[in-house]
Amino acid sequence: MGIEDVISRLKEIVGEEYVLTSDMDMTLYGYDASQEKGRPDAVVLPDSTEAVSRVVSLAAEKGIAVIARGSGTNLSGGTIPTKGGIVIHLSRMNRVLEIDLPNRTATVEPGVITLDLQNELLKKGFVYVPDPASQKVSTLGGNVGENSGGPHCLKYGVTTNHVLGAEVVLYDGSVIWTGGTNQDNPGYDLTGLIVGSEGTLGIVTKVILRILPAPEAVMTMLAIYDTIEDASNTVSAIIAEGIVPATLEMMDSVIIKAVEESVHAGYPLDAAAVLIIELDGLYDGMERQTEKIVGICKRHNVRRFQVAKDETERARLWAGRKGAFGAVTRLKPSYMVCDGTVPRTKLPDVLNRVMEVGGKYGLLIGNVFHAGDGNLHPLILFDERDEEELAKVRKATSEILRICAEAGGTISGEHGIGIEKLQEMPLIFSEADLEVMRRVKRAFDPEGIFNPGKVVPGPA
Amino acid sequence: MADDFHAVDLFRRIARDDQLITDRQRVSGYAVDGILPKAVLFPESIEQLAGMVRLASQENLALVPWGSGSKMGIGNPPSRLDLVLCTERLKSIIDMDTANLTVTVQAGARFREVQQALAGEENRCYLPVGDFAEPGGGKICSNRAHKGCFIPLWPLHASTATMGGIIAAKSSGPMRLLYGQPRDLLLGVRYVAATGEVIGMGGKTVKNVSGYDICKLLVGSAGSLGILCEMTLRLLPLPESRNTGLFFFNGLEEASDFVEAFFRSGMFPAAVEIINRRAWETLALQEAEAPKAGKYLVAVALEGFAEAVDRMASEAGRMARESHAIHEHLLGNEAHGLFWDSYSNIASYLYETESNTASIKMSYPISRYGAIIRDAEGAAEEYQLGYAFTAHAGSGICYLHLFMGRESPDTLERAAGAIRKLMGCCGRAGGNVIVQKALPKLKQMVPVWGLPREDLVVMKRIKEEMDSQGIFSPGRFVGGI
Repeated sequence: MGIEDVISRLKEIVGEEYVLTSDMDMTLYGYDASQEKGRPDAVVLPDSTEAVSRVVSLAAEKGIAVIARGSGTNLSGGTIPTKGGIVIHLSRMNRVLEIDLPNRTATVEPGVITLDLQNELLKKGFVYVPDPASQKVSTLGGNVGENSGGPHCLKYGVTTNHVLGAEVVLYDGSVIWTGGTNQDNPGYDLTGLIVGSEGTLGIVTKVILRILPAPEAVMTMLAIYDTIEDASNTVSAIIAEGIVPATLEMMDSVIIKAVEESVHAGYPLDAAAVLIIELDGLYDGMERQTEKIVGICKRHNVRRFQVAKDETERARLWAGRKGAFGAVTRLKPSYMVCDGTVPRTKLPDVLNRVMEVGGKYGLLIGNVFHAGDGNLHPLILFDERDEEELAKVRKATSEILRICAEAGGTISGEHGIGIEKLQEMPLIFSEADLEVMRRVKRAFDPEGIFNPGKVVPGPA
Repeated sequence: MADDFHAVDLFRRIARDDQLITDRQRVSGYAVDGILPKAVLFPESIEQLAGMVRLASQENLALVPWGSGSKMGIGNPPSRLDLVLCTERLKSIIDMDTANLTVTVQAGARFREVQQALAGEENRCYLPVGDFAEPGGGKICSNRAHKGCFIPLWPLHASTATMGGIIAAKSSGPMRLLYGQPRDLLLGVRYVAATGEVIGMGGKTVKNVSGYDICKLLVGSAGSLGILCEMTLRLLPLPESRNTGLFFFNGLEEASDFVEAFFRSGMFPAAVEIINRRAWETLALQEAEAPKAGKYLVAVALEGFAEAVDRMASEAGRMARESHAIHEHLLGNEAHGLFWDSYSNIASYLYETESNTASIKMSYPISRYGAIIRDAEGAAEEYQLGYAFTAHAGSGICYLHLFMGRESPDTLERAAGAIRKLMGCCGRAGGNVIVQKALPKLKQMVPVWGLPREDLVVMKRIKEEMDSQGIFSPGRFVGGI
């Protein structure tokens, strides 16, 4: 049975209009937000768990790869069909199935846009915390697949800390629930394994998310520095004072300039670093904590300190951070973002070494990162049409990840391994460690049909 | 059984005499559900532990890990047992990185000792910042009003539990409401796999998506996939202020009303516990703290900034009075720690005074804290068993301790009847029952991991991949894994 027959079976399952096969579509579904490219054989858009299950059964029967994807904002090539196969685009499964305030859960389909759920919850006085910068476009299924982070993860943890259970289509098309609304289910924490597995273990078709009451008060502050060391040291000092803010975000001078030109967030063009600090919780004590933070910033030579007076000002302070990735394309058409993560105390040293790498290869690097949890995002700016430059970028990326690994950190904090960082996995894992991961893969997907060639490199 | 003696003797090549006990009397202290191992091993390094696992694997010997033994009641009786591997000599605190808010410990380190060490550790930031160096050349870079960190957990049996045991049994406690569970705190791990290899996963960063999250797989795996050796956990700075409100009620309805109102108010308590009189009687509360009458105690832990804690305490008091609390008492900062310390040992206190206690953990959707307690009380009374319970009101968990008294066919049947009944109640509510401790005979009468779930099929394949020989705690885990 050739691919034509498979396509006609797919059309029977999801309906003719929801199977894409045109040349243009195959090109469009061949890339994500990374530098990698591929090409699927077909794209299907199912609208139910049952349809996903039937597509997976068909693929299993024919030994065809299956790649689940949402909006494709992932940054490591995780959704790229490198070996062809069927892309299951889950955008039609975008229903919020239940918001259960007393039990503090939201049950959603994977295609729900992160910010859509957050807006709906906020109207009811609740929040779903993980807030990746792509939240306007990214889907919750994608967030689950990548175990996405975001600025507010310093205090509240990443996606995995907010997923209580999932409905999962397994390799043979069977459907199981892991976890659930109630806590402490017996057995292995399969939900914890599936979150962040980049679609290589199964396809999540429903998710139960933990929601929290919205904090009564939020205090957003902006601190501007003349040196990046002062800003970094402020970050560590705040935590040393026993304050764990909701966020501690930093941008360096390259990013500040790019952002200022595109978003006009009000950052001075000659600043070396900008720090966004946000506290949340009850009103009580917030003023005093803010005073304490002002004091810490002053001790670290802050040039200017600003507290957002209202929601509009808060949005403006954030606009720069949220728009940073988009803004840098003003400087160069392409960027490569690393997301190595190091113990927070290693940040100043690692930042210096990252800039040295940039100097060595003559590449422009901007830094915008989650300083509070040691999650770097050096953006290497370049022009992908310049092949010589692209080769340098790949070398520089690898070096930066090595620096992070040597500093006791890891090669990916929130963007995932995908295919982009497969080669770097041995920097942090031994062959025996990787073999454990291969065993997990085999337990879930013995035939290797789910998103093959991702996350775990083949045996050395 | 000459073969067995031969196999155990092989361990003498890699263990000193004092690291290998075989005499029946001492070994009997390490019985697992009444089954005696042939030997108990006490490794002193990870390499030595790995060597022991390799040997066990070669000789196909079944091995059960043991920390302080506080949670060995969890699980089925092992389907076979040769060795108990006791981690008590692997007890170092390897790295207290308070500036980074992480701690790395060996599996046998006792929770209480780690927590004590952390509380005394100054929370310095170790950056080489000249401006703030003290004249003596110190590296303090902030004028701290603040000191100390902690692992944000108050696990069961906190005074004896080891770190490895807490992670392996995913043992949480009242503060999970605010701070999360072991799965949220474990950042990195080193363990010995069935192949005898030392495997390292995760690390010192809170964010880490490099490869599969094997840490999550190991949390709660109860010694069925590997032997935990080293763990890195997330810390928090000690809260600026702490307080506990004790509110006593005559009826469950009033107690639930209060809890409901408090949750709806948008407060962020660290813990909200509902317990019955038999449970709080173990705590030896002072006269001012507890009334002579009253059936239920709602204990509310508050941690955070001083102003927020004060406001939560005063709002809790107001709401408790509106819900007809018959007595209230605020413990204050000092007594707060002591109270929750002894609270975490309620089960241990009960085991000292009541014979043959069967303990179960029930789970419901979190909003149904009233129903779970009503069902627990109903079942205990229907089967005429004395009982105590402690319930995490905000997490949908209730620990019920049933006092069987003398072991007899009648008491066993009644305890089993109550547990089965509650399994039905929890099942209908979408939850489950997990037995925490029971006589081996009682374990044969009820499914100790509760009703089977559809995800068991994947769990079995994971076990098959990770330990195909079945040397790690065989038969003890869910579904006979």
